[in-house]
Amino acid sequence: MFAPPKKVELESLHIPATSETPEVNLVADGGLSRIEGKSLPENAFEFYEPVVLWMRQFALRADTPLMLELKFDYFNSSSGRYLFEILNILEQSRHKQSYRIIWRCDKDDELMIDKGEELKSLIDVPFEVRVV
Amino acid sequence: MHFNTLRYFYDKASGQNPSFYYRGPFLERFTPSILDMSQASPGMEIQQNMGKKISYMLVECFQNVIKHAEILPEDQKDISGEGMFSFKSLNGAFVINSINLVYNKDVERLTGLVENVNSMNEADLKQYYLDKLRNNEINDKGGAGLGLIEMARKSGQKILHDTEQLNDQYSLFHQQITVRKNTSDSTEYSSMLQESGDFYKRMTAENMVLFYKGDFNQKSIMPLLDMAEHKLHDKSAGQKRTLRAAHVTVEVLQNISKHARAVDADGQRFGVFMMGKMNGSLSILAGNIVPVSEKIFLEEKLDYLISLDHDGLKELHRSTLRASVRFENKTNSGLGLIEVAQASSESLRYQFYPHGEDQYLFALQVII
Repeated sequence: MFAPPKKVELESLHIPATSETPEVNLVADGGLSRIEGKSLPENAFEFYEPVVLWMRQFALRADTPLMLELKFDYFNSSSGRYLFEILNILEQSRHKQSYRIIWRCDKDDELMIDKGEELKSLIDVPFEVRVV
Repeated sequence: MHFNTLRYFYDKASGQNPSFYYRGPFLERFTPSILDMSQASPGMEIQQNMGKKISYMLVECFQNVIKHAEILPEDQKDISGEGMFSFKSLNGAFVINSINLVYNKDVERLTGLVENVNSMNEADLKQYYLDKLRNNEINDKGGAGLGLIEMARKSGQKILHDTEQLNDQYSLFHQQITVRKNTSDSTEYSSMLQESGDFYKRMTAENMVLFYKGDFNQKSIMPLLDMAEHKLHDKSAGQKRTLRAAHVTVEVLQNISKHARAVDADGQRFGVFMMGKMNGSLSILAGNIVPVSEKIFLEEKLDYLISLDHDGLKELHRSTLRASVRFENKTNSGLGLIEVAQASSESLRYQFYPHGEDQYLFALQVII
């Protein structure tokens, strides 16, 4: 007999915005999660490490859908690398069909539209680029 | 604004660290940025008390310029009236230069105010300051002239000044505040008033708006970015280009910070950054010191980026992004330069200039 999947305990993660980093609001119970703002930390690894760890834990949970909204004024290339890693974790999950990524960007922000399209093309998770 | 402009400013600013020049307009919202930048230099942190004094002087001086600078009407935009604010730290002193537009009719009064302050000794200045405070005099510019007195008191040096008539209505008022770092320093800094004027002429002729030479860390980058962003807002250029330019600026600044080689005992990440307008485009020039071994690597990498077209760069970015996660590379593994090449409207240009025995000044130009 197989043991039932272990319940992965996880708390919501909130990191307030600074002038260099975005606001992170990751909801453990399946509500709307968001990362929003500017992201240009010098050490992107240090900033995104807790986000990456949280996402790894979340991706193990069988019973929780995820709606992740991403909206950036802009981000530096190192932040881009970690955003890709976060999305990559979701892609590797067995539960990825219950995840949904919404990339919100301004219609004038050609750069962020391109970034969203690029990430969408690299990741096999339901991903919508929403231009407003 | 070309590589020879970078060389000119780089050579002229030799022995200055940091060295900062900003061509107007002067806006109140830049005060915190200027303050942050002056405090970001490690040299300033070591001399804590000195650092505070300098910060105070910078704010007084910058706000004094904001108060007194006239704004050139649209129909006279052909004359060089934007003005300039600059500071630099030398071995023996910290020097603040400003150039601002004034009406010819005000020149005599302004010169008189400075000369009056210059003629006083420490005790006289203190008394004059207290009298001004008590009398609560406010002039039509919203100030009481306290700033000028404070600058003279705190610097303990004569305020250097000069005027330069532009036409029958306007003049430029040049001013220099010198703060000696130690009392034993007897160097003459008066030539810097002329040098600041020369810099301003060159900045105007080449439509250059910002120059910074010094340590590149996140603390000095953020205020530079804030000022650059404001300068990038150009109604005619449109929002799209502004965002692209802001992105390139972030990458270029952080690239210097990451790759700049420590050239002195303080371990500072020394570099140079300048921004200007050129034939309707924005030009960003940046430089840092690299060892010979890195020169070869950089040349290969840049030549490769330059050889790629739009689609080639896009594919390279995708594969680099994938590789950085797959191989758990914690750095951004060269994504920055690829993104700069992608955002540049023309091919990247670069130069290497010998610097000392086994190093080079690596200079990169991005046109947007």
